[in-house]
Amino acid sequence: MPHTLSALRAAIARIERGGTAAAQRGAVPLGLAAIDDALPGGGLAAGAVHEVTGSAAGGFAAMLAGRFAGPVLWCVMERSPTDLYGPGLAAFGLDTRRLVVARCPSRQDMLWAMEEGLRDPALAVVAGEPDRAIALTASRRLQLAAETGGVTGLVLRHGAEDGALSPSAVFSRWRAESLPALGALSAPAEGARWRLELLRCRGGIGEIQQRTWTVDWCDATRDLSLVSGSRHRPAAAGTAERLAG
Amino acid sequence: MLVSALNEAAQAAGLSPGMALADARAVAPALATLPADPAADAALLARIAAWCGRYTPWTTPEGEDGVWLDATGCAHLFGGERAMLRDLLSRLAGFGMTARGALADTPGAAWALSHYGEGNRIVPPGGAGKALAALPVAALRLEPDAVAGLRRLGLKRIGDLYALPRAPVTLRFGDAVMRRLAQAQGRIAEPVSPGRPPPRFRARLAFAEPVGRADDIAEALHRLLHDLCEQLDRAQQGCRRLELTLYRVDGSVQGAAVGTAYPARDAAHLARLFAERLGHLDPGFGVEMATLGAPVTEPLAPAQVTAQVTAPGTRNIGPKPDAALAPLLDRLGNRLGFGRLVALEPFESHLPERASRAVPVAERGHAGDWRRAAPRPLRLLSRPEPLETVSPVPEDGPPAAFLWRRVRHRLRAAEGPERISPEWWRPGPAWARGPRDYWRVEDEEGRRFWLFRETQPRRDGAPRWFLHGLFA
Repeated sequence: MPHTLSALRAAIARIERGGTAAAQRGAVPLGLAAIDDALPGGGLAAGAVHEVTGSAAGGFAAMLAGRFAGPVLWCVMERSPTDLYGPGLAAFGLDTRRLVVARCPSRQDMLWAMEEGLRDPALAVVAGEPDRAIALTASRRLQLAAETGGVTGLVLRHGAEDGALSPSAVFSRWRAESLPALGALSAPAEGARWRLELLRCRGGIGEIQQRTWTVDWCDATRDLSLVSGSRHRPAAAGTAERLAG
Repeated sequence: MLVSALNEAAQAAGLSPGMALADARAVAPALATLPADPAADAALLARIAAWCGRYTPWTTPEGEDGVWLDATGCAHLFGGERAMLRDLLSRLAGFGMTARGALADTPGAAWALSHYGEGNRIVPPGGAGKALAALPVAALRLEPDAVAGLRRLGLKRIGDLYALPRAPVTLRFGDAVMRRLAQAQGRIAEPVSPGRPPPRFRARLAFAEPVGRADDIAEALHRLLHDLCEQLDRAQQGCRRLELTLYRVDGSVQGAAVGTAYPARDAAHLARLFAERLGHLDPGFGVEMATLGAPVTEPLAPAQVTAQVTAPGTRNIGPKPDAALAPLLDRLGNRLGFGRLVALEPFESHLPERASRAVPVAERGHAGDWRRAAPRPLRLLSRPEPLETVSPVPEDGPPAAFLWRRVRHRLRAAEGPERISPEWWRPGPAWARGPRDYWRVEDEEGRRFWLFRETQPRRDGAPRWFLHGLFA
């Protein structure tokens, strides 16, 4: 019975993606079994567009981009009052030697640059921070481009409740919120604590038992670890020990 | 009011440039006049010089009413020197312009013949002396005083000067007369610099019939690129900049240029860079010739650099992805501007804003690692924003809460201070207020900020707090 179900699900996935199943592109593990096991393919699907919202979107996206091997194109608005800062990106595991930052003068230019990047197999990841939500057609174009080029897209959206991408076009949607951790005993001295929530995932979010995780990012080890108290599954060994001790 | 220029009919009526308008009207009551516009004349001359680019890349306006063309090695494209000159003059006549042209070994001889010559105005190599002998001395581009002086001595023709000893003429009229004569005869060189340096690599395509369809122009570009890339390949060069020029039938010129982040000579790639620009070119009533020049080139090893496309999942691009990325960077750079594609590189400085340097990707140096002294934010504000601290701030600690962009943040935890001092060897307004104490703070929702406090008190005594970075 489960076999039949998974076969059906695969068939639907193939239809959804017009034959170029994103699953064939593989998935890149986040490095935390609790999350990777829950995701279809065992990680963040490559050759697809993912959306990241929440107060910790930037750090989480930098971490995701750092998990991919290959060049990263990061599109920002030229007029943004903040600049990406090399040491901070490096702290989230993104090697700045393979990063190209595109300062786009307008949103149209950004969408165009992202689409060009997503189509080019020389890249691994295209990240973009549009200043407003992206229309349905543009979202679909991005997803199609990602499937064509096999490049993974990350669309960042800061704070706002509504998504930057139209829901139907995005492969998965995440919310990453900062959690207080500075000075907490269990938290890593340098790093961040996030509450990660998987809001949507193509291929059936209903199948995913757990969609919320509380994790610590450690700058030094470049690793995610589960913070205990996060529901269900037992915490990762390292954290458990530290808490116990 | 003086007469500055005349057409042939007015000259035939006995008028001459420089005479007073009232006198001219007295001589020719039916005279039609227009105010002189030297700026527009100069602009027109520049346009004509650009249009002459169809014959040779080396053109430049001369004086108020002339254009120099260095046609060395170009005449065969037009069926010989005579045919080329005829073509040039008849096309200019077609635009309604009165033009005279001459072709000679030296700029001086060509100038003399074009302004004063009669009949044949093409001088065979070495024939300048003979061709110029019958022309008036004014044809040597001399000052009016010198011309008048020579005439007083009965020296009216250039030929009269040939036999004269050099020293007395120089003593009497200065250096110019004999120098101009020697230049016209090619005995000494007369350097003339082109309006813009001609590209070392250039391809040219003339159409039998004027073309106007976008497809035809794209096809022409394709052929030009093929030709140019072959030239580049032979010379082992790659272009950093390409300029496409379309010569329209109405005599105007349309241009488009693209740049590349790295030297390139892959025709297909370069054609893609032009793709967007072609749409903006207006062929007007038709284009009769197109040229493609590479004004900026750099050495490029014979092995063609192309994108390596490997199967997804097996991608293994090291820390130097530039070769495979070059086509993409070129496309992005031509639309956004190459200055907007940057790489972040570490720089040996402890000032936060200097420690991460944005350099154009093409100049990326693959520098070393980031200093890991203390945690640094993910984003840095372009300029630190002053904060309102709502509660009294302890002398040696961070505020309990602050107001930033109208949002109040209550602090939960803080780490610091980390004192950063300005670099005394680089004084600047940003760090004029001395060392700063940086704090990493976290509000009750877990958001982290990078704050600093100026250590030198302001006039009102209270130290000012600023936000400099965000950790997410």
